[in-house]
Amino acid sequence: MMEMPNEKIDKITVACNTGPLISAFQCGRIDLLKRYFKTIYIAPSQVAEFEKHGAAKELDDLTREGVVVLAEALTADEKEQAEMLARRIAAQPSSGDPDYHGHLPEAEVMIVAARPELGCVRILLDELAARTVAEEEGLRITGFPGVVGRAGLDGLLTRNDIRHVLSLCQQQGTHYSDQLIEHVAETYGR
Amino acid sequence: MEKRIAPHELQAALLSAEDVDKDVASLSEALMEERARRIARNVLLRPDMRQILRALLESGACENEEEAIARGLKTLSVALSPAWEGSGRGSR
Repeated sequence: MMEMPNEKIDKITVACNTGPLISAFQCGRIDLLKRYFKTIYIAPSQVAEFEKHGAAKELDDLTREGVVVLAEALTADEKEQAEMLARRIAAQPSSGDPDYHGHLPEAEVMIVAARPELGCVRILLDELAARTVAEEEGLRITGFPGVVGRAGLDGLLTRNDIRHVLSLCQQQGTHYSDQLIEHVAETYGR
Repeated sequence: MEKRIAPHELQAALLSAEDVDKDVASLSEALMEERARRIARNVLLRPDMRQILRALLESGACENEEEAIARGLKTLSVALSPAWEGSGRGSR
């Protein structure tokens, strides 16, 4: 479905793991997230991750704009659920870290995504192990390369733009393979 | 020099092309659903539209609101198609 770049988009509310936002920061294309998402919820435990990645200022800017909203702290019950989810993520064959503590932020954002009062219709997750568990939980997923692909379909990005955007993330260490970048560029670029 | 931001989850497994295709479809579906909600809300909030819908349902011409709206659009499309064909818009 091709849409014109200036056509009105009905933006959606999502929850977002750290990875997709980091990718958008790495390539300087937060505008792509702003185009499709009216509110992006994150879990409290993710804030420390953004600080660790050197993206505290970028996150702060988006929070001030009201694009990113820090969800309320998890209740005791929710924390228990998050720990169980984190253990399941850690146990996935595709998980690179068998210690569940390292997966608590993505587990917490899954809990946030499932809060009915927030109206999150998708969760942005780029890590395979977390995606597997999120799907088992019935959450609907997308990710940063998916946003880039959609922007290509909407006529906002050429094939070369897509290569450039995803390569900038790759050059800064994000795990997008050359084949993946080429696939997204050739399939979705205008 | 441009600021560099450290990657997240260095050990994480890679997304496949199939994963991204599913993600694009999933995002597109969510955007379409949101658009459908807005359009339905705006139509159904109009008292004149609600009155017409109620009359159509009470007459038995349509089983439900969805059918009434869909048939209304098809009827309008058929009615306007000669004009479209004349202007070349019908072939798009």
